[in-house]
Amino acid sequence: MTALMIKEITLKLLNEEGMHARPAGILVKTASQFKSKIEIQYNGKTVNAKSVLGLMSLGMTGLSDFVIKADGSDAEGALLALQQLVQNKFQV
Amino acid sequence: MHINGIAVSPGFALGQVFLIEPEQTKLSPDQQSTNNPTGEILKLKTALSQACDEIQILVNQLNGSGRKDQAEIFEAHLLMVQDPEITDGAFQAIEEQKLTASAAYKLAADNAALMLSQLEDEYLSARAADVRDISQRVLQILSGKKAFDFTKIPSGAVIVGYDITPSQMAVIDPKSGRLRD
Repeated sequence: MTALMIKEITLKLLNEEGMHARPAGILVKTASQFKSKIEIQYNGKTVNAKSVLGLMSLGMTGLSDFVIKADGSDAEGALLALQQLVQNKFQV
Repeated sequence: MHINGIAVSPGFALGQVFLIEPEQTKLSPDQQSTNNPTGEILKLKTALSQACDEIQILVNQLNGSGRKDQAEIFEAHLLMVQDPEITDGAFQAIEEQKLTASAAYKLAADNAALMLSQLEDEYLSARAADVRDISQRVLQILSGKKAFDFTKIPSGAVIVGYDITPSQMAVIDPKSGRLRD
């Protein structure tokens, strides 16, 4: 049953500078509002989306494609919020 | 005496040199292991929450004096202090390797700083300095020693150091070069 809770989406990082501290921080703050386990996959690496150091360690450059995976009862809401954030170039 | 260095602020200045010594974060062998991991975990949790409080105060002060760019640095520090990449690693090292809170936190933070410093993106690799800064803050709290008192620097001094951390810079008023109250 729990397997059904895992959701994922592929997104493009629209901000040119890449996954720097500011966007990473905003992403972490949003991801941390959800109970689900949320992970980011990029370039063969998987990190915790609630870790700003993890996110920065991906070295994600602008316009990269990456996957967000959420596992938990609020997975759908988490992905929706994160998708909106990425598409708005982290303008909150 | 002739000292060569990298200028942090542009311009000329005449004044008494004040040397900031690098913080000693080396731990002696008796500060490395513990037979009370539960106590060390509690100690680390308390220190982390104190570090968060300190940084939050800095963020508020900087925002209040219109230094938004600097406030943003410390907002990032606030997240780094609570970052599971470091805290989970540290709690695990206390439980599994029976390290003290200080030794475990230093180990986990050093690993994170090393990981960042190896990134190709220059901006990201420079963030290793921020990790070292928060690590120094937490270790300082754990040591129970008082942090370096910047009010000891005489007014009008030229500050010289091997590395001046963002936390150290934040207590200096950039307009007058004087220390903020």
